[in-house]
Amino acid sequence: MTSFVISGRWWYTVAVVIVTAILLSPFYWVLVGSFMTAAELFGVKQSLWPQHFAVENWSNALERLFPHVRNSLLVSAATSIGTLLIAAPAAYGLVWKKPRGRQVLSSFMLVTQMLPAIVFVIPLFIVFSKINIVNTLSGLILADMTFTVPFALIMLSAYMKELPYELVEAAMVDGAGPLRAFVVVVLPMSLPGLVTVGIFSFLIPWGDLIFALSLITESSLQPLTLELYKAVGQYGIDWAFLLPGSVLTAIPAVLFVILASRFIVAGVTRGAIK
Amino acid sequence: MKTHTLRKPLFPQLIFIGSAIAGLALANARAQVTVEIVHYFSVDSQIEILNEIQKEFEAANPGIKIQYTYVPFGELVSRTLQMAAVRKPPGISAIDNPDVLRVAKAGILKDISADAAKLKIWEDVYPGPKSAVTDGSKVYGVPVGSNSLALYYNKKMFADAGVASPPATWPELTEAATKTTKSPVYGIAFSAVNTEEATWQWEPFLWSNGGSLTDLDSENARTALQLWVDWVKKGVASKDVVNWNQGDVPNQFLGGRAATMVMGPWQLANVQKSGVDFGIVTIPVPKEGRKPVVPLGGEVWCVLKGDSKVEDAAMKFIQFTQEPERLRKICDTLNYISSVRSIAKQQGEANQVLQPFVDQMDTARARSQDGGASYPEISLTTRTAIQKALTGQATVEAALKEAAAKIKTILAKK
Amino acid sequence: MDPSRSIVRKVRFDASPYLFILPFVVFCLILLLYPVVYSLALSFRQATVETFVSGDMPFNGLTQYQAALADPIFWRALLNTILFAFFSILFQFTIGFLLGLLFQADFPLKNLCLALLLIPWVSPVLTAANIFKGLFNEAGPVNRLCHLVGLGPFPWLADPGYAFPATIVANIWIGFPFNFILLYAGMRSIPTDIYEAAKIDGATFWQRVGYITLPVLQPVSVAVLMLGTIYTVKVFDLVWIMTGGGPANGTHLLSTYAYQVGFSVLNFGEAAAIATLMVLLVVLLNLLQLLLQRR
Repeated sequence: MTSFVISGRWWYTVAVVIVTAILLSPFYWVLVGSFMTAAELFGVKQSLWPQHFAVENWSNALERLFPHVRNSLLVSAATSIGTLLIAAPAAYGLVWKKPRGRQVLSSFMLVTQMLPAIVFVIPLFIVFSKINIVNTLSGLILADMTFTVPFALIMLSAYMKELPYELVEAAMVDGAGPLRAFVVVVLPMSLPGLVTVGIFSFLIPWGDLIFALSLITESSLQPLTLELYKAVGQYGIDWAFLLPGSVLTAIPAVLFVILASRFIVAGVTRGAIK
Repeated sequence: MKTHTLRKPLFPQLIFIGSAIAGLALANARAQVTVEIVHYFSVDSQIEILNEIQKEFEAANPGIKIQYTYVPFGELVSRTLQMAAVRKPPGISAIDNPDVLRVAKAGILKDISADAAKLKIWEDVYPGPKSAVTDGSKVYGVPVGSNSLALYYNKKMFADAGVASPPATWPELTEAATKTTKSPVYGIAFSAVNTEEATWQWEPFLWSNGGSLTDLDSENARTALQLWVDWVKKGVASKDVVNWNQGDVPNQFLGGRAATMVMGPWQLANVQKSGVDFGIVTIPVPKEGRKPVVPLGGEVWCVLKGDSKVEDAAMKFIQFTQEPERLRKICDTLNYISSVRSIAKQQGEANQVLQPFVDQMDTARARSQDGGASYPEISLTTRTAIQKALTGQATVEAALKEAAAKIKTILAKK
Repeated sequence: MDPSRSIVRKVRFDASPYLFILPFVVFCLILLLYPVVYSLALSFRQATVETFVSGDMPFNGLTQYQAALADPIFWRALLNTILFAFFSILFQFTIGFLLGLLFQADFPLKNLCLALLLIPWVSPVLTAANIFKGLFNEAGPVNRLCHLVGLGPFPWLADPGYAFPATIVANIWIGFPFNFILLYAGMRSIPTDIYEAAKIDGATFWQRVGYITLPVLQPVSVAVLMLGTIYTVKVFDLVWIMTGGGPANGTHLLSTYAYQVGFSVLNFGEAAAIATLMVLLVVLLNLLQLLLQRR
């Protein structure tokens, strides 16, 4: 598939850009609206272009959100790394080593994914207050991981099932122990899957509201989502903050994906490894 | 191996927390009391006044520290309950008045009847707000301030449509709204969304007509709901009202898409800023001679049961906020009409536009009057009926009959 | 020195798989098992405001389950959830799959477009929900588009019959990137020489997709569909913000209904019961999917 050579690749790009634009069109309202005042947004003349650019919306939003970027970055990065460290070996172990009790474990994880987050909030709050990690970033990281780890396990198990196991066996025959085989053969082969799962394990906490809401009240520790949620006041939504704020919170995430997606490299060829 | 990587981040945290606890213990030994106040005030001016009070109070009371904790609007009650459940209650929670009795039922609020009686202003508190915090002889909080609903109207639109004077009765209101309805403008905008806001916005009409939530199967209730249904049917009010919350409604009014709106004093600043030529009148009544009965909004300072030192400090804070001049300032900044008669009068005199709200305070009613601690459930049932009628899924009679039956079972469960 | 290696040497029993999953199991036991058991226990207890705080929630067996099952709103919410899941996943998966194919080629600006297409998923649900609330407004863009084509204005959010599809459309928008990226990565893991061989044998593009991509992608597709179903059944914020479950409780999903019961009425026990029933529903849906897969 990747040996798809297109003459005039720019035509392809144009087609993709058009598709992208269509799919993203609802977001246009956010971009345009972020430069409008509330009165203009809901005015009788619903214009597609702001009358005067309310740049102060953006500067206010930036000022309010910037201190919280660090918190979100820390939590997301730590959740992503922690998830991969726990789930990758586990997926490998479950898929290829098939230990006893793996059906129970897999089913249990699916069940945990099925429960709405609110169900986790109260018990986690209770557990965390007992060991005093409420209102700490570590608590939030652990809470986020209760969601990302089962997710990662399910997806990584699927990605690893796709791989040709003969390569691992070949490595083991060559004298590598299970750990070495894992690190040297399995990890590189499952790189697209790992990176994708890593990306989602980063993005899920990035957008998490409910755990942050329940576990963090200390203003300086709040991630971006909580600060943005302040746009929902008791009197209605502060659009002038919400709209630019949404774009601003999305930017780091999108940048991260651009960087990371380079690692979702083309499929490995069997021949090359042999 | 991997478990170590998991433990590493926690270890320094545990040490830090350990020393923090030790530090706190030392601080306590120095008789330093911290009162945590949980609230949902998020507008800049509100935060400013809160900080101001904090500074003044701490200066006057050196052994007490105030700590504000912001919680989003919808989460306040559950957060307060959560904190109490894990035995780490805040000192004060600024609870929305219809929720006070329900939270009190959980047994976590302190009965401050003795201290409240000692407040200079207590005698002067309007009966409405007082009833929201009173259960028999027990008093569970002191109102921060009150607000309610009135009718904002667009003077220019009225003039253009030939509406001579702002409506005072339902027929006048319907006439005015009909005259000013001209695509894309609707005569009236109100909120009938599937939250407490629907019940809240309907209550002025229900109650002014002599109805009550505990008896929805009555002629009074039917007429009140029919009023709304007719507006939507005739196109005088948008069908989207079932989706509008109280944030959407002002957007319609300020955007020039509605000639009148049912709204409270908290939007006054926004409306004044917008440049719309507006006026405010008390909620129109069914017919001449009746008095408008509006629901009461506004939060209440509630003291949570806990460490007695914290409880005492919390009470001191509340007393501090109730000193007349300070109370006036707080209410002005937080967009309240004071729950204290003398101060509300001052506010009306200082700002004519607020007078309708002040006038309504005499007959205003606390929502918990209709069902006490079961109010939230009753409200839920009511708004289902409202929405069913508004969307045409049921006739007014059928919808209210169904709701009334359900409410009877809710009340029986008490 | 590789410890698992020495264990393998010393003892016949291969402990390595267990070591691989050990951290995971520890994690599960502490952080996942407790909440699940807690919730289950809660569903059998009378946990309302008073009892919850005092901590002594009396056991009342299946009362809450009975109450939930007797409630007509519950059944409406159940039906809605099934329909919501079915249509959301159908479109999300299809769009995601087609996009995955589209992106298999290398072209300029590829990574940028890929990342941009994640925006619906990355945006705060608060924003996305309000976008669609605004789009489906009576006087909003969707109605204006319909007007251009001559179709009357629809009461999108004012009528449950229309509001429900509106929430589905919003959900499709939010969810397709998830499917897209995961399927895309799965496609990228397929060794390229298989395609080469097929091309040499004369297979067309769609034949290659049908005979190579789909089968090899099966584990990933199954996982994506399963997770997609699970997450869709859990969707809460979107519907809550767009319609609040209304009008007249017509767009409630089990999740929003559970929330209304739990937090608007503060009956945590019944909310937990609804949540457990939700889990049963998802289990059933997943079994159904697996059965359909086996055919």
